[in-house]
Amino acid sequence: MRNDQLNGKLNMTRRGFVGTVAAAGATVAGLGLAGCSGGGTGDTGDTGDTGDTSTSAVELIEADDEGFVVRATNTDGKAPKNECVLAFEGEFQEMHPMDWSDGNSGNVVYYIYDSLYDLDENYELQPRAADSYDVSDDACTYTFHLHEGITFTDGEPLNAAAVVANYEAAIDKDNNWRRRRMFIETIDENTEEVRIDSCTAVDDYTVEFHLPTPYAPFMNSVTQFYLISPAALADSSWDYSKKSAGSGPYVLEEYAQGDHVSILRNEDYWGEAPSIDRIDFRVVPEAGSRIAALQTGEATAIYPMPTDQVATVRAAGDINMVSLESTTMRYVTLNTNYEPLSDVKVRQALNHALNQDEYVKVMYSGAATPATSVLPEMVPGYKAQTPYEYDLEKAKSLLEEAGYADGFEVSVICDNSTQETKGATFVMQQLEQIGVHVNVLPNEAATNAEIAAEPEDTTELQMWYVNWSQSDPDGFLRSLLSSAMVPPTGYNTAFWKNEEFDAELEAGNAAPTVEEQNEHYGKCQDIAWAECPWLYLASDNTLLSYKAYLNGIKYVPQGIDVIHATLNV
Amino acid sequence: MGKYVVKRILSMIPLMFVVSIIVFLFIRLIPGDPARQIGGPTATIGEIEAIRTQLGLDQPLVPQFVDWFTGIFHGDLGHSFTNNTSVVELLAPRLPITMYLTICSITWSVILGVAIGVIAAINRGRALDLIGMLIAIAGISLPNFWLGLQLMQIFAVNLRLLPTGGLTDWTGYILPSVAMGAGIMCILARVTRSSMIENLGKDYIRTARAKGLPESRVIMVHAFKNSSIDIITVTALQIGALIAGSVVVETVFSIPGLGRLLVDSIGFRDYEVVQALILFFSFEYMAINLIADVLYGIINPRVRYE
Repeated sequence: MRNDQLNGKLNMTRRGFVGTVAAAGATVAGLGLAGCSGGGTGDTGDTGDTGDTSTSAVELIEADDEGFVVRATNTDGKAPKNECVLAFEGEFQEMHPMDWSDGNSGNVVYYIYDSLYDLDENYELQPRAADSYDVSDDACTYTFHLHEGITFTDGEPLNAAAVVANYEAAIDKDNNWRRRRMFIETIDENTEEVRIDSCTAVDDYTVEFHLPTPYAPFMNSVTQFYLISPAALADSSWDYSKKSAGSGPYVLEEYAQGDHVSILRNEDYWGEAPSIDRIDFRVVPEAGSRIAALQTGEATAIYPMPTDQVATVRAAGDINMVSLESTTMRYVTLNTNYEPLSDVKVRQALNHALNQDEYVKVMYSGAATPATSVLPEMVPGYKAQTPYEYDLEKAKSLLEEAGYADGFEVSVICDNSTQETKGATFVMQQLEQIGVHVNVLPNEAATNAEIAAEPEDTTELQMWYVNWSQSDPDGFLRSLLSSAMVPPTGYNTAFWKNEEFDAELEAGNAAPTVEEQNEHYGKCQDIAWAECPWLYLASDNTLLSYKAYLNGIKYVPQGIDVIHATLNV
Repeated sequence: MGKYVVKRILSMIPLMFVVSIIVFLFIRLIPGDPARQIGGPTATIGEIEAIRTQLGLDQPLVPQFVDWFTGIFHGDLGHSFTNNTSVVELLAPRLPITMYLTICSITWSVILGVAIGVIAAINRGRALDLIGMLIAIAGISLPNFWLGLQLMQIFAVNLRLLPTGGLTDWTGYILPSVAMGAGIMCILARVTRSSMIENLGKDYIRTARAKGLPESRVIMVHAFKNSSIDIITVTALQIGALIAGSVVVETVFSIPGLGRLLVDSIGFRDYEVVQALILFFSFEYMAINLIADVLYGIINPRVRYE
């Protein structure tokens, strides 16, 4: 569900659009020379996104223990300025710290605004604007002790009153900011509940959140709760894309939609001062161009790094490339209401027929980990399961037991980018081996989102080749597998309903200690894994390349972190 | 002719109206819910409903259209759902970029394309003709994204002469203009050559030569003037085609232009941005065709306007 499908969208919509304009033009011009207009449009159907096509000649990506695929041999290079340019594939859509929804914007917000707590590169909680927090014995009251002396860039103090004001703005239904969902629980199609009873200031620097029932993912929500100056909150005309109002290590310099966002070091930052003067987040959609910009030094780091350009990076000599495990899970949902897929034996058979190791090689040049649970390994609470061995005989006999010895036909929808279509085609080829004929139906992402939102009784969805990324177990288990999240409410597009699973999940969310939570989340994973609502594929790595003169770059759940990185200037 | 121009301009109004209805319906007919796109995959159902109301998407189509269409006359092209800003504000910085890029590409490609075509026609069957046409065929056959990436590799990565992308100063326009104009240059070279060859074989050329006019005058004034009608026609069509070509080049060179914005906006179902852009492109197309028609009359007085 990440926005990595742009290439595919581009192909389809551009053709459609060219057709429209050409037709309009012919009507208007009436020149009768339409035959001459071919050829010059360059409409060859692909932008040549080199990151999307891996061929047999591409070398496998192998990382060492520290995640390095390529280590720079020449480390004497100097940065042209004490400035860092991060080239991203996707756009930065929104600079509002409570209204962004794309991950790239979230990445920038992370530099400008402070949250009470953060997740570090190991997905562990680290204090940020708060020094510490306590949880009551019943796990219903969270008390945060704020760091004293923090001020927003406009001079307002970051105190308990400011946190309360931020909380109230965040849950305000009239604002309907997108981050509101951190504090909301959807019960069913028509009901939603605020997960928090109250947020109160105990004294100037102590804030108390009271929850009606224990809720384990609460701290994860806190890491995405970015604090804005109360003065800006009170000003409904404040334009966050022109002026930031945070207390973080950087302040907004300029936001040019579609091109770049630049941020400057906050000279009055309350914490450890960053070393890099200025960071420029640039949009470089084409993979080949990102690599080129990194080679010339126009970019200091690029994300994502295309899988088929490892040789280029190695040849450059002054570039490091890392491959880091991510929280993205790739899978195919199996509609458990659809006739042959309703039989668990059939679903298990499909999993036995898919060679995950080949998938990892063909699709990600080896830079992925075969799925060994419904959660990626990086997500806290992950519990390893026994893999479904690639065994065609076993798969066939399971199909036979289910009464489908001759196989059946089924369709799979996928996004129409080169990469996603290739993945769905891989699934088709694998399942063909046991006589299951898969029709691959590539659609534009927005079309798939609509197909997937159809409720149970009208849906035409049979299988969906898709992916999901979240940093907490609830974000996977609840959003994708709980009974409450069957479309249109959520994305349980397997329409898989298991009471035991739901009960364990609820117990996990309500458990007061991490150990107990993980115990229950583990059981959830056991149940789901055995029941196979999905065809399990893999969790692909995050590939990142950067100049050797950049030290201390990190990849955290919020994105790329160079706050405490340094440049050799 | 003044009357003709006024008439043509007036006729653009109903045409724009029709285009606006078509684009309004077209973007709504394709599947995909903007509220869901804006909310993202983790949006709650209440959130999506609220977005729908906020955007007026829960209203029937007719009031939605009337709202948008009357807004246009007040200079309000609508609101970008995804970027949470007005369409005017979104387009303003991008418009000059795309226009400037288009003008640069067209200028060099027309000059060079016509020159190659004329030289090839004069030297028909000889080495210069072969070289010219080889360039032309190669240019037409090369996809512009590929050409763009190769140029980037040579001039930015290997020689470090030009930037790989972005438009911080004028040097940033060079490679994209070359990539964008190459195809047009080649088409123009071919059109110019065949048109010149055709005209050079006509009786009036023989007459001109017979009465002793210098060859340069025969070629540049007599033959070329007649060929320029074809050249203008093709150029006008190619400017329209550039809109499509710009999408690819803007992507390769990371240029925040209108082409990329259109593609992204369609992906996000950002209705009012798509509507505004298609409307603008249609207008651009009409205007260019009008200019071409007027130029015909200037070059060839026999062209009559009614």
